[in-house]
Amino acid sequence: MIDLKLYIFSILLGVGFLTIIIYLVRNEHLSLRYALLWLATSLIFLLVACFPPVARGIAYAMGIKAPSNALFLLGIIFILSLLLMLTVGFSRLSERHRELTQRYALLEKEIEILMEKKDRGSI
Amino acid sequence: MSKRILIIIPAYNEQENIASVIDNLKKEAPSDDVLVINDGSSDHTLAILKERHIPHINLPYNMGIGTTVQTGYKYAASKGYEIAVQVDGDGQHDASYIKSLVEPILAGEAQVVIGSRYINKSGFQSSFFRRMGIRYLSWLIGLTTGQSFTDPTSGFRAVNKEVIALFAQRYPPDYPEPEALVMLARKGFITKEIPVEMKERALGKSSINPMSAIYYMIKVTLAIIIDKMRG
Repeated sequence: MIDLKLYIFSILLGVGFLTIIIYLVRNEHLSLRYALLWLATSLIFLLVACFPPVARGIAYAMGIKAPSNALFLLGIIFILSLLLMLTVGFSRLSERHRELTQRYALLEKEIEILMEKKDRGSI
Repeated sequence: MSKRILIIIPAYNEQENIASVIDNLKKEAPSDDVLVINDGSSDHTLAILKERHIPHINLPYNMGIGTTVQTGYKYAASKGYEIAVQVDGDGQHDASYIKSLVEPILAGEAQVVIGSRYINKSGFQSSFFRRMGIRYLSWLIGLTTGQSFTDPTSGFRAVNKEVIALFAQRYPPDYPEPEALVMLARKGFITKEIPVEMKERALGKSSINPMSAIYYMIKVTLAIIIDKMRG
């Protein structure tokens, strides 16, 4: 049987995590679009914390003896995939930012040309 | 000559050099249009451009050489220029060579012309380590494209209308010079190198410091290999 201290600690951690996510969404520090992923993560964490046999079942299914090792492995895989997704998203944003900056600068130039024409009375 | 030529000059913190670069261009290539792209300089580059009524585009913050130069190509494409010439804003490139850069394009011999300081090996030859790096890049580009370039990092170039259109669409954001050559080779453009003499940059400091040289080599190598994988 799982140690009672660890049991309570994990549940408190899960509740704390969930509370922080809800707080961040409520105060618009985290948009709902990305919050879904974090809500799901914290709920899964809470589920595993409340029902330790779930962790043992996952470990067994993965062929890993200690449930903690299975959870660490899954956690690391999750974090790596999340980081990769973020970097992909960041690359896309940089690309758009680059395009936008150039368009802004080119439009500013167009306005300057138009203003000069206007001053010379050719429009 | 009826061909419309735009001279694109990327400038980042070039307050000491930009005015004389423009004066030289006006003297050596009076019939060509010039366009300075100010890459969010934190010094007085923009003030000098405005004060002297030098045609320019101002990027609101520092975006790097590739994005800066590409802005020039986008402008050239939208205004229908026939030829674009890229000249550094630091005074390294001698404006008197513009004529010979443009000539092979006008004659229909090439679509891209690169000014190389290593054909005649005269003028400023850069430091030993820089030369070694350039030789390595030449070798790598030769290996991947089958074309030989003596000076693949040279930013002194002229391109025709089709290449302007390509660059307006697609241009590498950082350390673009060698990577752009590989892209051009892949798309089947005809490139030619002509001998030029370069000067040591007049004043101010170069954007590449020794610390970033290794990063530069690794990144460019990767970019070239990845471009090759695009097939």
